[in-house]
Amino acid sequence: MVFGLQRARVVCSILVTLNVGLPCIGDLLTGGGTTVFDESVNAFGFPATNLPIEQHPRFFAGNAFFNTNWVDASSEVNGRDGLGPLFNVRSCSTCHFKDGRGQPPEETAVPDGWLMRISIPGTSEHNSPRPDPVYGTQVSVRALPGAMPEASVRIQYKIIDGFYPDGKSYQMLDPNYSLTQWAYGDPHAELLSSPRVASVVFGLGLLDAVSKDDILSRSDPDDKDGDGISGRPNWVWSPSLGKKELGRFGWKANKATLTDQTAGAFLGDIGITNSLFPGENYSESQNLSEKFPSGGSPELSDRDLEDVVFYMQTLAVPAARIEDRTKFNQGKELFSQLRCVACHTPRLETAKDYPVTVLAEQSIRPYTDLLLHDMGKGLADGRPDFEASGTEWRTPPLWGIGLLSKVNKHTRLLHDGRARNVEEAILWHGGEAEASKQEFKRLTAEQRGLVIRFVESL
Amino acid sequence: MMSPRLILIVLLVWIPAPVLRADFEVAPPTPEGQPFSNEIAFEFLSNYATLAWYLYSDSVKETVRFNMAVYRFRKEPGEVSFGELKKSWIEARKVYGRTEVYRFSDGPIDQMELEELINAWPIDESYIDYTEDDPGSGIINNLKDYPEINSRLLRQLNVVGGETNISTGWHAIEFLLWGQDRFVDGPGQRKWTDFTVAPNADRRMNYLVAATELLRSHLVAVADQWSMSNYDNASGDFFLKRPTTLMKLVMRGVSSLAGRELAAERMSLALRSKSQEDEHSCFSDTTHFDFIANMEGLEAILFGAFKPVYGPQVEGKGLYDVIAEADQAAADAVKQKFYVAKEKVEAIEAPFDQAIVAADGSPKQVQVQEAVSALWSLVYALADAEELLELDVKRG
Repeated sequence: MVFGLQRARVVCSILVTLNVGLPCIGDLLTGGGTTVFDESVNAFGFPATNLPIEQHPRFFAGNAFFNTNWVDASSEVNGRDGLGPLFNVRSCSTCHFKDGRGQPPEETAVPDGWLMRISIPGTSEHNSPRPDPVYGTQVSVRALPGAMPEASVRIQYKIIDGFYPDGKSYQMLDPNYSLTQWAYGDPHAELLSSPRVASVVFGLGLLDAVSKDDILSRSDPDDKDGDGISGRPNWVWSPSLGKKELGRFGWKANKATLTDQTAGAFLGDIGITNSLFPGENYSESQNLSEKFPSGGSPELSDRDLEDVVFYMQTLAVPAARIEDRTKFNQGKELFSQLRCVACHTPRLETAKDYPVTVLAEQSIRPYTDLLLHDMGKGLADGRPDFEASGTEWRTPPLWGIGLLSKVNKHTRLLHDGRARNVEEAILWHGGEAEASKQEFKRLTAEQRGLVIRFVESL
Repeated sequence: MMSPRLILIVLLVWIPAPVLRADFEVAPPTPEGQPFSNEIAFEFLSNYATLAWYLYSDSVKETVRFNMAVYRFRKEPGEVSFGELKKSWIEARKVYGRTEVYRFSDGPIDQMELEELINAWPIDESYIDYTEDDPGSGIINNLKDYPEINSRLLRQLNVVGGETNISTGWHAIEFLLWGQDRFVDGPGQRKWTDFTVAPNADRRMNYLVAATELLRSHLVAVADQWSMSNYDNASGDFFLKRPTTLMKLVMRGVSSLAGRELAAERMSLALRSKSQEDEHSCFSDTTHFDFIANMEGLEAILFGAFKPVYGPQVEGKGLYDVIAEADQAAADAVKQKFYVAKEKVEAIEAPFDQAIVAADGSPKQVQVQEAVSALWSLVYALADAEELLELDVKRG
């Protein structure tokens, strides 16, 4: 059901009159003027509400490319050929299904929407992670006929039993990953690996539009204010800008621009070369170049890349869904009291001069500071990424989180999808968030429910 | 849930308002300053519901005929019964295409989440059956994991592990009937013996029957939501929404079909990728029929008139009439843009895959480009009209 903006305004005006909690409409308008009111299975897939109609052709062209299945370069199909030879999936939308979020595979299944980053100790050019000499920085779990997938992933979970101070029990899944069946010889002896699920792709343009100074103003690398929370920027190399830049995207904020992120994913995930990453995603020792022709040089045209980036920039953020205003406000208040807001910054403003005008000067509610935080040993991957340490993760945005069950039919959360719901995700928080988590655990069951429902209403 | 019609009756008891038609249709009073009257909006919206019933029940009936042809082919497999079966698919498909104007409107087809089972596209054919590259691929040839093929299995397997892993619906069946289109100037050439003597022929036949029965039952379920005599259907809340909200949803459906579906996904993408497989009905080479059927659906909603295959001529108010009450010039612009687009779409030469692979700037390609531009012009005119209707302004 579409929850009409008008209805929202009516409800708000009544609440304002009754003086029940302010602000109101802003809580609903998570994506500012881009916000779309839709709770259907397509909730993540609409163009920004304020996007002028004349820009719809470009948006939908990008949308179509996002859904396109790439094929083998040797096939008769032209124009969208060049898949692999090593790859994870055939299209963007396989991982970001309905512009949503991936989940971990069943124990031994080949993953969709979930991948394993790898590297070896030390750093490479521009301080980037040092690739494994054979396998690079990402395990390709699929390959064209005639080539072998690089390796297989196996996940085993150990059940962790825990108790709240009030005696109520909970369970969490602690994953153990093994990489086996290496097809091109053994990997480096000290291989580092980091599992990642595919994130939602809406609202990215808005995050891009937050000014760098604004983000940096929240950073506190040496914890000068002594609140136990640092907030560090990740300075990364941007291939599209050709310089070091503030990282904003990805689980470790290791990508500075959407173009970097998208072009990198085209190569790393689908095996599609592009002007930023012109070389195929295999190493010399894998001996694949002669056997597999290229689908063009590069395989992705700049125009197609730009349209896909435009599509992701201008995908609308779905509105929050507030069923019970009082409970929402109570949950919101607790979320603030627990100091969740120290990293999950409720409100950001986008820059006035952002080139995509519909995204400029918007007041948005992503619930992220876009900075890195130490999340403790439990979540650590031990794999540094530019300036992000092995225990640091970027605060992920929370908008749209309650719609995952509708759109993606699952509620798996955190960087590798180990948490089966919001509650488990909170319980995995450690490091800088340890104190907040302990306070959450000390709440009454009813209060905990309010916090969880608040997050799910976003 | 109550049906739209029952709700209208309830509204009649509730809200004193001028009676439009002799029987029962009423509208709440028009709020002051609204550029169109609630009377015309409700006349249009109830005609929209009536048209939905006729368009979907046409589709059900034509699909039942197709299903009969499948049974006939199973009973007497041969060149002739296979040829008739394919013809019957094409006819049923044409009629289905008219209903697509009801998508993207938060109506039954979206709310029941059946579109994905009925009409998912594009599809990875190797998920279903053998392909040139992989003779052992697909559900049909996977005896180990799927010892028995039936409609429950096909439903379960739809869109598992990827958006193009499609096991059900029009295009899955189309692939079963035609096979891969490896031919420059014609559709796929699957032989009828694939269902009688080829490896796993019996499983292929079971697949065809199960997928067809499933399609039929899903179409019945959607049609039933718009039934005039069903007082217990899920679209019951249709008329409970404000007229302005309903108008917005209807207009979103019309614009989405013309713009994002027809112009962007089915035409522009195919032209840009130059990929024959980006043709909508790529196995049967009948995409031009899809285009025309979509335009017929748009025409019915815009102008309120339609002659069902099975049923009397429907004449009533269209979206055009509501816009005209607010602004005649805007309505005329929509009308003019629609008929230009219709002409351009009809001018696209069949088979569509020839335009896809044609050189840039060649006449065949230009035809498609012109249709794309004309469809977007229609979408722009609709956006202008929507603004004039002031559907976002809160009144009364």
